[in-house]
Amino acid sequence: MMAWVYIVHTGTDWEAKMTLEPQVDYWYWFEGGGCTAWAVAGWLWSEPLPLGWACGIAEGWDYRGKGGEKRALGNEAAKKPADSQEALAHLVLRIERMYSYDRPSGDSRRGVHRLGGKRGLREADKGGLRGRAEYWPRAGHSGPSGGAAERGMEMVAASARIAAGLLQGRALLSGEARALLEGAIAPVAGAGWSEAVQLAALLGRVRLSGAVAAADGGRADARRRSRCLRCGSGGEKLGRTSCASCGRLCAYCEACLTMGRSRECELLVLGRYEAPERMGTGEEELSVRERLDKWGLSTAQHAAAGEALRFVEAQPLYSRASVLRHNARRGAWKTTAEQGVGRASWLGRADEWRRHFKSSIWNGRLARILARGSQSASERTDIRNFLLWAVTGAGKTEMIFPLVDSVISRGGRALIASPRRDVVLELDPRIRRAFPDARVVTLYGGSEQRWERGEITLSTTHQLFRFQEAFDLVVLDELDAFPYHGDPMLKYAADKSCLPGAPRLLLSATPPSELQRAARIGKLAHARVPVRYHRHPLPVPSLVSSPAVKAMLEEDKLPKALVKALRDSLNRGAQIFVFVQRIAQSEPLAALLRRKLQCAQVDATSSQDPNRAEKVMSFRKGEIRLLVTTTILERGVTIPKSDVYILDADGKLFDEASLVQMAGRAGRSADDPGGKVYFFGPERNQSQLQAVKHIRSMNKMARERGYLLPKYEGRGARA
Amino acid sequence: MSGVGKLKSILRSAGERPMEWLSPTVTGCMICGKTVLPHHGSSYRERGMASYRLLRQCLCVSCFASIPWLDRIQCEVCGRGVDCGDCIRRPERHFVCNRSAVGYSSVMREWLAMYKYRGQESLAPMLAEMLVPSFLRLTEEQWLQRPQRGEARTHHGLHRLKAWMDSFWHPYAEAARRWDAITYVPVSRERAQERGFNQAQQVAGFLSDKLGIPGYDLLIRDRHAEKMSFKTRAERQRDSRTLFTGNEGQIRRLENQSHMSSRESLRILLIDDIYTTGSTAEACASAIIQLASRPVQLYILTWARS
Repeated sequence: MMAWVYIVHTGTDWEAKMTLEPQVDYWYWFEGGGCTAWAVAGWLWSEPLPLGWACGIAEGWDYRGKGGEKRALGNEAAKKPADSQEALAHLVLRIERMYSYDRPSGDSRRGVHRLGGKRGLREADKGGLRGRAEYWPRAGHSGPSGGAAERGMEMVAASARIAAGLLQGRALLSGEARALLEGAIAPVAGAGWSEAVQLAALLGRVRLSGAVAAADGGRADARRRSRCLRCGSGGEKLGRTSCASCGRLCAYCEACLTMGRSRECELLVLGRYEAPERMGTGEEELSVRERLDKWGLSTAQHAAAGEALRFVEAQPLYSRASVLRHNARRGAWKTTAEQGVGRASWLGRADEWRRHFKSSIWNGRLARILARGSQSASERTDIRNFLLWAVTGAGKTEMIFPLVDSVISRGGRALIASPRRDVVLELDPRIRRAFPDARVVTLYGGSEQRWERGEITLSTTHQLFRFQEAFDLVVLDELDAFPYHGDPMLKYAADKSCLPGAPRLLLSATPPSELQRAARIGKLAHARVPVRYHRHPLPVPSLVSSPAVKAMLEEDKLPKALVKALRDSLNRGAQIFVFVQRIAQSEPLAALLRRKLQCAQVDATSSQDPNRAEKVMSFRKGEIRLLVTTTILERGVTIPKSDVYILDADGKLFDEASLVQMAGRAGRSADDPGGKVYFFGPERNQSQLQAVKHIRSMNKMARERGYLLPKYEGRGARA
Repeated sequence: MSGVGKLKSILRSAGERPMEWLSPTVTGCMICGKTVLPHHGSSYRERGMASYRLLRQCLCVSCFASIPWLDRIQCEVCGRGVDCGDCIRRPERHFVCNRSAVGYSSVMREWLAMYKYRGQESLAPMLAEMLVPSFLRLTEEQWLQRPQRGEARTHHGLHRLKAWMDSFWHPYAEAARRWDAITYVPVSRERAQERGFNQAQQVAGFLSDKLGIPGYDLLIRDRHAEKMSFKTRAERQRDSRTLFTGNEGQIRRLENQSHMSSRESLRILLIDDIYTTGSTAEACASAIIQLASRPVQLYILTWARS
């Protein structure tokens, strides 16, 4: 994609700007489009440049000659341009530098690409660049009420307002922005999407940049420094190819290709979140306890949810007003009398927005987030994390209802994100039932609601690439699950979706060890729910020594202990999960079990099974009694009456977290709380012992806090 | 961090990834990302002169096995693996024949989509590599007689050594000498803007570099057609007839460059991603032949035959 670059003198200084539609900028600066924003003079470079370059020049504009560029540019540039010719010469130098960066590596002999050459300055003096740069205001310029242009621009202004509203909190590539806007704008105003976006950018409502750019803004001069601003990947995740849309060598991001291609000359539109006027919290000041009561939580849930709710409400929701106050206190921003009397028109606020945008902490923070890039997950300090460590089957979803309720009743927006699509789909009806009046938007690959906005957003973590500082509350479910855990890209996405200072709730039954440690030493606020909603203790696994699955298959023989236990489970009418390490073992083992148990209702499934959904469904219905599977079903599947058998429990694919999760499939319902869990394997290793210890410690804590049913209170009860 | 601490941390991280340190060639499969283990002999037969060594290095065993190679050809014209009616129905054609590397199975469709629509350009060298065996077979069956065992003996010892060395350093020189140019099917400006690259051009570029056959931009696309995949057979043939024109400057350049060769006709290889009905190939061939002042033998090499 190509863009233009221009400089304007706003009365105090020369500023460089990038534009998609020079016509809109001209109107804004010289024909009164900006109302309070007036420019004295300007130069438009009339050749389109790759978008990344134009952004780089605008963002790295150093007309005062400060910063690191000074030395590199030499003496000529260090001088402050006193008049428009000199500013233009400065611009020409910047454009030349872009061309010279673009030299293929290894070709160090070729000099810089000469536009005016060394002569740039002198040529500019003589007006030799006139053909390639256009002076603003144009000859025959008619002044503020620019006639025909003005009328066309009214439509652009109207559509810019719509666009700014729709783009709030989003981070979209040009194609996505177009898909979102064209449907909404065209029937109303008839202006092109890029014009609308450009005007919104001038007003500070959106920010435009290259999708792959240098971390600190501007175009990178070395590949190493640039990053994909959408997913935070850099370095070897970026491929540099010759690009037909900008005609130059141009880097693209391979890490987030599935969500559309982000590249150097591709536009990334970041919409600023304009929080609505918040409702006063004074009117219905119910206590935390009273508000929690309506959700019908158990004692343990109640306690944890109360803690989380107090945490969420410890700070008011993000609002522009609070940021402005914050800035005013810092002296960075002053209200002017003019704005007080203000024009009622939205355009009247243009200057305020623009100035706010320029000095806003949003701007600075964005640069900081981008500078930190992918390894920054824990570094964004303004997000307030809260770990809700709840055992499997504790009823986590019910516990987040009061939090979501608190945020949306104050006019905020809540996000519930999960790494797994099936979890999102399962959550959808439950949330809609709990919040019948709220607008719920569910996002996943291929979702119909892709461009809708709502008070509650349910999303897979991948969809978060398309958001930027958009939510007042973020709930991150199953944070230790694949693919979220260990993927810096998704962490980056989850980070950038939070509004400044927003609370983020991390849900897990088996938090990663670094979070457990942070919680233990008091660095991370947390609440533990050590008991299931039915108040029975978690089933503790029995460790049984047995041959490996490989040996069973080779010898075509099952150990007696396993057969007996399985028979017992079948006889008591339980559904049976059998977990194995390898996908390849699942089918043969199912065949062996079918023969030895003389039971036809045995089947196997894995991540590579196209009929997985149907098989899980018939397992749920009881048509399949015994399902051989891999860790793919370790979480998210709830079968009321089930027993769990983990074979090769000493295998290296089963770590503590995964063993606890698999064990958590048993005893989920109040009707059958005492499901059986067996770890079969030739050895007992550290992971198994830790998993057992984990489960025991949760049961112990539940007993100490008195969460268990009275019948378990005695000393002799099963631990 | 102190010097000792730093050293310790380096050693610790080295201990975690011994595989990467010891064998730098172990990389992920380009398609599925699984680890590719070095092959020690393989159950896959080498076909003709072709070697699949490079492909095996960048694909895991199961991805490599999923390639439906088109190595048994039924239709001499369009290179199909089954008997075809299309070529009989077509009264005249301007190209000699088409050869495709693979059948267009659903897996191949997915691979091409990853490259073409999602824009994973790092796949281009691999896809180009897949064309090499078909290219060699095409060259072989047209002009090269495989040297008989007895025949080779007649050469002088030193000559044989040189031939052997040549085959080592320039394995494709013998085949490449039979060709004058490689070119590709262009895409429209709009499509190039939208996609950022032309898949056929990229593949042709890689082949040209690898084989040492000069590449030319012999064709220009005149207008922006609807995506071919939404059309019926008749529509495709009608629409693509006027889609291309020859690029006169490049054709003259090619003619001047190759006037030295003893052959009377120019041998041009046209690269495209998919051959479906052959109407694109036909349109391109006729556009080039119209402008050429010498006889042209045009061969089509496509990645997939649908």
